[in-house]
Amino acid sequence: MHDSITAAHIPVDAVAVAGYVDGWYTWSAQDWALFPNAYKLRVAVKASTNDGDVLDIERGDATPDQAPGWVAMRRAAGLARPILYCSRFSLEAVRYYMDKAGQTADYWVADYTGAPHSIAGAIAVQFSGDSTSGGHYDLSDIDDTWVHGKEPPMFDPPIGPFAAMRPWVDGGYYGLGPDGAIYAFDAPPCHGANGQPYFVGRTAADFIHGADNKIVRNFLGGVSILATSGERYDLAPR
Amino acid sequence: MDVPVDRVVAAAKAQLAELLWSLILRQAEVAQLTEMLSPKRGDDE
Repeated sequence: MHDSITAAHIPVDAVAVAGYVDGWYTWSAQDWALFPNAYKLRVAVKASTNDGDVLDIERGDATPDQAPGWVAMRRAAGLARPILYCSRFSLEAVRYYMDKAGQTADYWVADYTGAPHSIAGAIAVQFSGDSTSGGHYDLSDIDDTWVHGKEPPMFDPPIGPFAAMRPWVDGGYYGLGPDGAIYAFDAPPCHGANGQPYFVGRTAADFIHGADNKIVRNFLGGVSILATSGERYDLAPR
Repeated sequence: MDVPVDRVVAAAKAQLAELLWSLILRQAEVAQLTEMLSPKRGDDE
């Protein structure tokens, strides 16, 4: 799994990604839409945020004693498996407060050894930071069982990697898949009825885009993508 | 030698944040040890 404060630094074919739902580095809807095939882990940095799968417990973010309250709040909101992120050095303090409150959670532990490994009781281990991961992102090894029950990737089997992702003039993206088909992502009018990307058409054509690199409207008000086959459809709501 | 004030302030803030975080962790350790060492009801009965 890849995580970063900047979504654009993560490879678009990442299997799983983690990003922020609050704080200075909150990911936008367009950031999340860069990863249509990925399992997504939503991280809150403030214990007062009733959102996300993960509470980020580290210097400058949530503190260990705030963990039980956040976990209880997220469970009450319907999250089945709240996750607590912390360093290996903070793990004992977090567990102390959780035990004291009689609460349980899954743990995602940072331990930068540079190679995937496991830590007892952790469902994920962040083993590499951006100095060793090969990019401006962190890398984590995730327990396969964690993804069960999570929202699946938007396409299964996965599509991609996308050869090109172009922002549309009114928001959203169009992606050219490796199969030569074009898919739309995120932000009206680039999403289907359930907010998921939709298949636009099967074509080998390139995008037509303006000088600012955005796809342009044509004079009829449509999107200037060549030779769509008319196969466009929205994905069925899950 | 002139040292930019903003860099000094930033470094001081980072050190303070580090110190605060380590105090937060120590606080948990102390609380845990205190609980372990304090006599429990019934120990001397």
